[in-house]
Amino acid sequence: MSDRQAKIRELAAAALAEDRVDYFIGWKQGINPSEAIPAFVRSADEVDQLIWNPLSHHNLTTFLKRKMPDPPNARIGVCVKGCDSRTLVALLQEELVDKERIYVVGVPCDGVIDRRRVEKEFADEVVDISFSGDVVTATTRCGDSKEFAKGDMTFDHCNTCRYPNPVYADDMAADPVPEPEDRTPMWGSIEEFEALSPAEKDAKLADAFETCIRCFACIHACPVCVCWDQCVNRCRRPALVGQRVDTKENLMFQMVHMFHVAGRCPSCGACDRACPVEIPLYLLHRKMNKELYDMLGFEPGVSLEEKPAFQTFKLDDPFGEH
Amino acid sequence: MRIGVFVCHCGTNIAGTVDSRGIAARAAELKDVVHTEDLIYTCSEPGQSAIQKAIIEKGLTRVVVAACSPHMHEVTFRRTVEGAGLNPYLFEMANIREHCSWIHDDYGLATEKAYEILKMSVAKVRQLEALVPNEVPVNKDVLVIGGGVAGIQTALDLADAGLKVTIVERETTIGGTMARLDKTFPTIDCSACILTPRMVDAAQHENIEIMAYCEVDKVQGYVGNFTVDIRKKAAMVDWVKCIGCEICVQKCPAKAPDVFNVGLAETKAIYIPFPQAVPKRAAIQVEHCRWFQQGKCKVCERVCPADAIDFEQQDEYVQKEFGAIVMATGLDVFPWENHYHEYGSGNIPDVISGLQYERMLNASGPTSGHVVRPSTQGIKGQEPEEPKTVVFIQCVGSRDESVGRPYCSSVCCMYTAKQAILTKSHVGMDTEVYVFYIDIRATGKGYEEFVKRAQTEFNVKYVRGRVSKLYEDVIDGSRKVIVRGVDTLLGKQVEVAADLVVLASGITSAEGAIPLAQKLNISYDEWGFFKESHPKLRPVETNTAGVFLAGACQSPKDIPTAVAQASGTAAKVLGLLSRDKLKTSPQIAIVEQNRCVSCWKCVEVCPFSAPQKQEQRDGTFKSHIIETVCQGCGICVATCPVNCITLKGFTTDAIIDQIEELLLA
Amino acid sequence: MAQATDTTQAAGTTPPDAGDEVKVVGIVCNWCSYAGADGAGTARLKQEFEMRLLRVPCTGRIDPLFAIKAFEKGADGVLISGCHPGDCHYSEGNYYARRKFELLDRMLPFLGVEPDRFKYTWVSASEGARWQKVVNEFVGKVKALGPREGRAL
Repeated sequence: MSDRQAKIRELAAAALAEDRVDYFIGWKQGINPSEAIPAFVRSADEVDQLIWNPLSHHNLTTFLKRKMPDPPNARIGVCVKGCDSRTLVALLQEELVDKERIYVVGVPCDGVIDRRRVEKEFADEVVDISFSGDVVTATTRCGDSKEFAKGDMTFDHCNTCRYPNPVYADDMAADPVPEPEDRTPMWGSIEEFEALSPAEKDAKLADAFETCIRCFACIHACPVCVCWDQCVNRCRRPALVGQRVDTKENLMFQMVHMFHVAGRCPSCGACDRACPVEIPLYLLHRKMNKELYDMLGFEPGVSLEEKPAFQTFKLDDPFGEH
Repeated sequence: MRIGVFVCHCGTNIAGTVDSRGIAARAAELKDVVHTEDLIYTCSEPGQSAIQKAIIEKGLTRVVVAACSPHMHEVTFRRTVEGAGLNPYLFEMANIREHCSWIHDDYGLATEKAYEILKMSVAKVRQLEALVPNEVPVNKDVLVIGGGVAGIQTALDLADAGLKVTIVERETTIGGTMARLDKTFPTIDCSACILTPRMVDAAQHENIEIMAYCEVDKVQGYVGNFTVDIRKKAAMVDWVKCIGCEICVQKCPAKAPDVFNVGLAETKAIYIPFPQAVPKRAAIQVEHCRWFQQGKCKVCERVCPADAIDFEQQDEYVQKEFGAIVMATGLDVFPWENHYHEYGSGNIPDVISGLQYERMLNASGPTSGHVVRPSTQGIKGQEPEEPKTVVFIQCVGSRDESVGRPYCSSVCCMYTAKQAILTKSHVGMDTEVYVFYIDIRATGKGYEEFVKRAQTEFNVKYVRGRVSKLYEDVIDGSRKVIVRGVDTLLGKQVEVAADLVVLASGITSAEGAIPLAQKLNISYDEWGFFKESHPKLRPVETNTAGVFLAGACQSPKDIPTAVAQASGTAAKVLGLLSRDKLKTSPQIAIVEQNRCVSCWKCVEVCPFSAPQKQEQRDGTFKSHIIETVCQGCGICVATCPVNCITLKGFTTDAIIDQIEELLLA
Repeated sequence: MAQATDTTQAAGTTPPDAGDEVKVVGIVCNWCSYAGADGAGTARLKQEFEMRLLRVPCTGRIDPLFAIKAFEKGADGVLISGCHPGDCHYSEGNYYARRKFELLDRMLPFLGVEPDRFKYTWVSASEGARWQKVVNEFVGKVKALGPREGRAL
């Protein structure tokens, strides 16, 4: 792991020193050592702040979407995990990111930690998480400490990951990790919800969406949503989403996002992780991908040559009445 | 905003089931509605005047008419409101006839539903904005697809009026079905004598270009500005050099089935369908040619005096621009062999189709006009036998649900009468001629008289009833086709030992009609006949502006009807192209550029390439929809994630307001 | 107005109890299904009462969010109908729509909406009888399910 961290620093330093990029986006440790946060590194002598560990969950490609940030023509270096690389490919498919202006460091990934799951094991605030092999040690402010098997604390999308190595990168931070031979996706996490009755599903969704505060965190964290401040969710006209904050309009708000990223969202889970009220957004987006896979054998963001599923069609698409 | 609501009674068509007066009165309570009125016939002159009067006197700024389908009278009422000075697009129709009064019986429920439909329309009209049509230049050239009698007639009418016309014909000659007919009813004049001079007229007309052996490959564009890709099929003969001398046909050693003569004779691998072909040019049927199949021969190349044979010829594509397109693709004969097993499925030699018999009657046909029994043909040392008893069976592949053809082919009664008369005159008055029929449809000018002549003057025996079975048997040492049927007038079984049976096989759409319709985006019915825009009011137009219909491609037709329609079509095309500029629908998509996020999904999905990347003053690019190219489908609107594309007349807000108006009630 | 009220009562029917009433929204394309519904009307083909139609140029114009919006606002069923594949007046609109509505059809049950409450289909301008069948079958199924009472959608 530290090998990858060292390699990321080395590649970032070289790109910055050789003036191939204006800045480099990676992960660094947060104020709270139990967190990793995005890092923007602007000179080669700052690369030591870059880290790589199982807390590096942020999908950094969200910073690339649409207009690359200031200056407008900036050349940007960015670190991607397997899942992040698929959102990058989705952006590249639509030329929403200029391939010539990015430098992509791919990081083979063994899965990242769901910090929320760890926190739920304690009554107190977790202030430190450290790793030793496959053992995760979490410590709280009061000094309580527990050890967990890493596999128990990784995200669902890591547990079912079929693309642990980036599908697109200019340089790699390590040799690829072993990949599953069978890339058929697994849908374990959503089958439980699928089995519920319509009324039970409605109740669960209502309970979840009742708490939505429309903070737009899900939308801003989403790497493939490109509307920024023009989001139709913010609009009075057209009045697709009512301005009244209630459960149904909250769900509508999320439906707008979901259907707008359909066919481009590889369910990286960034929206779910960003949600401050823990609405199960990953569940919804994952389901959408399950159905897309079932409909078209389509997985978003896997191949640069493919078009997003809803911007194309086949005359003989295998569904619907004929 | 001042909305006027007008509710139609349509006599009792609406008011019989819907309380038109009641819902008009109730509509007064809707927001912004300042005038309501019920009218007996809103589309009539008094009805339209009432609308105009109310617009002027009450200062209406929006109008809703609850009446029939907008497909029926939207255009009418747009004109009405425009006449009173209101923008025609500030008008909306509520369909309370086709979608309500005609499909429900319960007065109370239908009235309630009609009011809801009306409310939805009021909700929509509030969202509408004044729109002004665009003008686009018009290309005045016309494409006629199909060179049968209908296509030729339309082309000649248009060319005489000064327009340039291109006829695309997939066979090597124009002429179509009529060229294969012997005589025409009810005058018994020679089909070729009428048609071939018209074919020559078309070929020699300075305004007509005939592209024979060509097919339409792709159609793009819109009314006034179509771009058509045409495939020139490889004839393996250079038609610029070919002089139509037929020496190659005479010398060609490879035989091929004679399609023109419906399989009654053989032709050669290199062929010219008939002597009066226009253009008279030879083509090689590759699948029957010895050179292409076995790699040796090339006799045609050696004998051709014009050096026209070109074994290397490939299909060529040409692109042409047109302002209007006329579909005149004609018909095919119903393939009865595949459906009528009780008639022998084509395996009884003396059972033939009407078109085959037509060729047999023709002096330049395979038997030189002699009526013979096919079973006695081609036997060495024996002259073919003339039939003594001939039976005609009508409605084979027409008016028959069991073969999926419920419609009347409209020509068979008459051509059967004609063929029955010709049988008598070719073979002799003593020939026994029977016609089995369901009933006789002789509705054209002079038609009934013609059938009467067959029955009285020519003593053709008409038997009302269906034939249940045809089979071969030997009676008194001679081979016969036994016709077993029923005479429903006498109520008894009938059996006739016939020498020849002619099936009045019905009409079906031309092969390839459906794929062609799909290329042009026009509607068709389940049998492949093209659908007119309105059966009575717009019978030669299609729902795709600029595409017109002529002849049997629309529905089965006889020659007089096809020709009359073809001239009607020409008049409609002339009307369209008499203008230098065309008004295009203003109900198109427009981009609100300050909200565009340049994701280009609109560019990706538009079937017409209407959205373009337009450079802005700050050097960025935003989507811009070219007004004259946009067709108003709204695919981009439903695709744009920020909803910054608006489809005028069908805005997202209008749709949502309609949904809410209905559901919040 | 008074006369109108009398007529309604004279017919001896009143709208059904609002509690049992279902509301069905049909969004149809102008060229095929709307015209097909016109054809059904012209042929006086009797249909279930609850369908309310909204006309758009093309199924390609229909955002799946319209259907979700309709459910959100209390629709008990939503029907989408357009031209058969290959017959779109604009060549391609229904092909895009087919993908979108197939996904919606699969997502709605996950959002707590019974499968029989949504349908997308194709009815051509010449298929009046098919339109009648589609409406009667679809509305029949929605009526069997009764009104919806979703909290989330």
